[in-house]
Amino acid sequence: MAKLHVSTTINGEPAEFLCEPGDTMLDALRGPLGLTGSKEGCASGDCGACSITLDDRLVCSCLMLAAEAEGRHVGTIEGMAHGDKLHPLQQKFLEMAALQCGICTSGMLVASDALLRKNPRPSEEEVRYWLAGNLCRCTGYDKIVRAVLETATEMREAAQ
Amino acid sequence: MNVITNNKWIGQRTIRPDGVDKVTGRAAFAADTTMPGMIWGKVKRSPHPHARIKSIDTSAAKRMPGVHCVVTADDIRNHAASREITIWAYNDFCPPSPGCAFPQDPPPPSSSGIGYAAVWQFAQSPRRKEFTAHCPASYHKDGNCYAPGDIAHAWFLDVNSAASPDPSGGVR
Repeated sequence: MAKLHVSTTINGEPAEFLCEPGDTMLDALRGPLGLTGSKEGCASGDCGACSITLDDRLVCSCLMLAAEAEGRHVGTIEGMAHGDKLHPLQQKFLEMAALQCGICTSGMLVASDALLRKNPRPSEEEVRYWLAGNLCRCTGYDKIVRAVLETATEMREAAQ
Repeated sequence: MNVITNNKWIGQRTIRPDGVDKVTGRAAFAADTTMPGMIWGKVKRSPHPHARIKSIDTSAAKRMPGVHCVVTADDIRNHAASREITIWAYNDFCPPSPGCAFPQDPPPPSSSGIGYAAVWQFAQSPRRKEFTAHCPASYHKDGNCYAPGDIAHAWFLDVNSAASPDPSGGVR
């Protein structure tokens, strides 16, 4: 079967790629697009390591067909920092040691960013609930949750 | 009391050396790397929590498009045999007993005189009575039992010992 040609926008830049009809968005990102920051943990939507945004909505790229990116805006971990300038969440994750092996980190950051865009003032419970779909086997979640809460506070203060 | 005031690390918050690469998604994990001509492998694990493998039928997997090969323990065994790999086994758990064929200190692989020699350590836990009861004989190429120290006979073992009744398959 002929490959599909997909035109989309990734991290604000126009992008085109070829894919099989059955390829997932994660396949396309990690394969032809060379964006390997999104990880495949479970390939079944349980672990959140492949989290991306699709038109600002948080999705598991392993559960999305690559062809569905046609005409949409895709956001990945690679688009989070601006050049050498880290996003406040990235900076806080570093400072508060909210990562160890790093496999869940991309998904955690993309998901946390999506949360703070939607809710700049989340409670701890809301952070934990929002990140329930992102599994981490290293940190025990506490540092991650604290980093997100602290980032939210700092971002609000910076916005004032 | 001596107070160290000029230390760089103790009591300091430090940033992981690999942290920036990890939070930006740039860190290259093994699965993120590609090489020219690289093919992908996948481990097929048992769907059963506790079971014995009686046989493995790889024919359907081999027929799938794009599949280069399906590797099972048989392939390893055959490949090892064809390369004249000598297995030097020694036991670290099997209690030395009269007739036990295994030395406590293994001879160096170089003394085999074979370039492909490799040391393979067989786990022979005394708790696995059903296996350790026969351990000298089952690891012997000629099926005989030799006294400890009988280097001349004892330590050439063929890879078929991997078919032993050891739950680990005989090979680690």
